[in-house]
Amino acid sequence: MCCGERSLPGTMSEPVLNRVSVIVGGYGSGKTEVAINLSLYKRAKSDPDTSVELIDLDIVSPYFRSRDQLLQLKACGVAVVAPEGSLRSADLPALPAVVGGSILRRDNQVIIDVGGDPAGATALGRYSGDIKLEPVDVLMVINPYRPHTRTALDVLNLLNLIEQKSRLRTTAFVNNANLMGLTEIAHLERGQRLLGELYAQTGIPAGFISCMPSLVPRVNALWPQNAVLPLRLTMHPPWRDA
Amino acid sequence: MSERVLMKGNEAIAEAAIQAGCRFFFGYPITPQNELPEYMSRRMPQVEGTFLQAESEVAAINMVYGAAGAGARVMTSSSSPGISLKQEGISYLAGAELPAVIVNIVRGGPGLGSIQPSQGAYFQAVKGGGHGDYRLLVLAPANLQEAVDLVTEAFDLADLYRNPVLILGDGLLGQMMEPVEFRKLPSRELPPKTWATTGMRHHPHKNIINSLVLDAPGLEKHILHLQEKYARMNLHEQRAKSLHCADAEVVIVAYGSTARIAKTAVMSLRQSGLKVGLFRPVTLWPFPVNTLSELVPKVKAFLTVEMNAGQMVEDVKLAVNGARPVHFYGRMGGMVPTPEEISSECVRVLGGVR
Repeated sequence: MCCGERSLPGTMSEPVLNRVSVIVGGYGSGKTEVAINLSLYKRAKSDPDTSVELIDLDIVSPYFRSRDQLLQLKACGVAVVAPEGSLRSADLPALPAVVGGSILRRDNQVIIDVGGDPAGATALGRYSGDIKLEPVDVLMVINPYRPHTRTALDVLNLLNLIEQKSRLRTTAFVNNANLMGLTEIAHLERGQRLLGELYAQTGIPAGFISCMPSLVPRVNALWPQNAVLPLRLTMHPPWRDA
Repeated sequence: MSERVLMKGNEAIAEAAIQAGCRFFFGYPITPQNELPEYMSRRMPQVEGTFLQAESEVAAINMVYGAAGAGARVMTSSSSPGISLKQEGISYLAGAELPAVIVNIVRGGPGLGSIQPSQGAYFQAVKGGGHGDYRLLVLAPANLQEAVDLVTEAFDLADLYRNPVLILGDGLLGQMMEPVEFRKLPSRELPPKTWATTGMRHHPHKNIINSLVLDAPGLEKHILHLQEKYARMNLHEQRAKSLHCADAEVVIVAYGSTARIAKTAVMSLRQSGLKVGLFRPVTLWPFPVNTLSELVPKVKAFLTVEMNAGQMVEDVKLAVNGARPVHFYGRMGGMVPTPEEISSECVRVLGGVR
């Protein structure tokens, strides 16, 4: 697979193919949960000496960002690269210089959690030149239960805009169909159908399925050819009942 | 759209407005409510409505005045500092008796404050904000389905009373996601808008929308008419939800997202055998005095919990009227109370009443 071109048809054998994983998608598609869990997955699969770095590029939404889990992730061996000090709780278009360094180092594993929609992907465009220097996974997270990604046409519109702004080609879609705690297999089935239509129209393959750990055995039985990323949810509301 | 969708609070409020027939939205960006105008900018063209990003909050609220005067269903939204800028226009809407729905997704203050959640705009929402003797109907949802349902109803209530209705949320409610359903609520009999400025084809006289009444007896008469209307709103619209209040020794009073955190505290205290209940005002104005004062003889003490330095607690004290102690616990500036903090505050109050 070469950067800048569509990857080959088929599915990903595991959620990670390359050193750099870029997570894009619509607002509220589940990018941050996928990015955090992918970071933990990369941590588990990597050499203990290899640094695993989660870059929080979200400068468009002020709440529920990777940086909110900074200490918990650090304890798990994942470094969070994000604005520091009082800039941490701001929504200013400013990013620390270490982001570029983290991408250019070749001895680490990198996960980039991008802000939602084309607006969020604009920040990614600034790093596209550095990112394109080697093969990368650009994963677009899809939840057909979100208002602006319900149909293949919706997703194609969003895909085009995100690719324009980020100046990066999407290499796979992630089926993150969910209604949070109410999610059932039927919802993931709708996600699979949508990803099938998208593959037919774009040649971009279905990458992996992300879902609650309780659904994993049935997902494996139904779609054995798909890699699965079990999501241990980290973004909880303060009342913790969700 | 009757199936469940996963939405952010800001998006859910916007879609609910569209489904309620809102066809005009005027706004100006401010975090943490930006998803609301952004959603409107996508959806309004699809329903042949008008989305307009005004040059300022002041302009936006006066565009609301214009659209409401012409009888249209219209909404604006902002967050704390932006709502402060709109206060003059809100007072004009109230004075001219124009129906409109205003959304405040509150952030930390005073001043520019922070972009984190807060309930520091309670006083502004229920005790005026702008100048003059006026009231807004203030609705405070605690979850996204309730936000959807209350927004749908807010347009009816605004039309019914010819009065602006304020939806008071906070950054948490605006930013969080939950599955919601857009369902048809029972429709109300609403008076025809015979006062709207729709031209003289429909009536022989001129309709004029105005809040200027220069002669003092005339203005006093108008204010008395408004007061009579607010008395009717107070009589018919008080709403609250109670949980485990029947046998409670201590009742927590909290609204919006703070009430959800308090609910978690109540459930865990109940598991430890402590008699604690939750009283959640859904209307902040009119404040649900009637149902709250019914609790007074049964309860030993009240604990008000808010994300501010103590605002609603004043209305709780007025309702309790000195008959029981009213305690307060608050976090400020974007800090959110935890269920554990509320629980230990409750235990402290319980210790005092035994």
